[in-house]
Amino acid sequence: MLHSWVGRGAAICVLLAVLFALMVGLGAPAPDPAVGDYPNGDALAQDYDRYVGEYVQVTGTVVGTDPVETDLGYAYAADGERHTGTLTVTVRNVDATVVEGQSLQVYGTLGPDRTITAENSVGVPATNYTAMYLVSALAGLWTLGRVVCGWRLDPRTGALRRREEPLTPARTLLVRAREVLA
Amino acid sequence: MPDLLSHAFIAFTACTLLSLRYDWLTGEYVTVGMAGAFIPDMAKIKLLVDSATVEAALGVPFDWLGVHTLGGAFVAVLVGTVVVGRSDRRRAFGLLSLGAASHLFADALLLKASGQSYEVLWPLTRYHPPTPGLYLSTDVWLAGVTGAIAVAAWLFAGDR
Repeated sequence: MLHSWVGRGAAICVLLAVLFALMVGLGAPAPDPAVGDYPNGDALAQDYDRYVGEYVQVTGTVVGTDPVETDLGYAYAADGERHTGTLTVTVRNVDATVVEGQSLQVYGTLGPDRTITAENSVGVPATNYTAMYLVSALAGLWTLGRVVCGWRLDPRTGALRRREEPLTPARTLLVRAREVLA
Repeated sequence: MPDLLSHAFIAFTACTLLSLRYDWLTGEYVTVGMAGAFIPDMAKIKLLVDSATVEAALGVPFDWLGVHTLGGAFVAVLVGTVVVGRSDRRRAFGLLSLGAASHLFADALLLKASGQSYEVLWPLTRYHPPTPGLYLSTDVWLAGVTGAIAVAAWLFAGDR
């Protein structure tokens, strides 16, 4: 039954529906410190007062260093509408040296008046994000290239099948280069 | 973890070492393991369309991170298993699972300010297991280390 375009397509639709249900399920519950799920910037933006006095874990961009201030970008949905923006909080007791523009993750107690008393904080240099996206894109191209070289789409059944003879563009290029140089 | 390249390197290394034991595990199958390592990071769609957008549009709670959990990744692995031809199903399932599991495991070791990881075992439990905090998601050295190991494994196994 899973060997035709139709069967395969139907099975994929069912699986995607299950996956969607899992994503809905994960999005439903409110933060629960008892299981290590601390309120984040989204939760604070949505209902700040509810979490005052509790432990929170937020990640933001440092916009001031004396005292340390971070901008928490948030996005949440309520009543069918999407709300986005930034919430600026003052962080007390940051043990690491921080510079403006870097990313800072803070775990601590939420106070009134937009303050967090840090128990622990982790700084992330801002420049690293660019490098991360770059190498991640590289990894994607590498793997995609390998898939194309090793697998082909069977037009009759819609299945991915292994190529009997994998494409070897790199090796072919190397052989050509040697021929030219020789 | 980190960047996707490190995840790809880890899956490449694991599959290449397994190829020493299993003769059928050729380069094409190593690729399947690497593809598996990409599955959890499908959650990165959120960079284009965030969870709040989906939630507002559909009127139900939603979190892309669902695919970055045991249950979500398992279902995505099944999609990959259905996509390949019948004769490759079992192998594809195993290798995609291996790749996805290595990714989830590596991410569970990430440094967090609270010392607690993320809901990796969802939907079995929402518990965030403690993390040893071995690295940051932006540590560039990690790709270097995992890459060096991958090259070593590749040289050791011979070009397949």
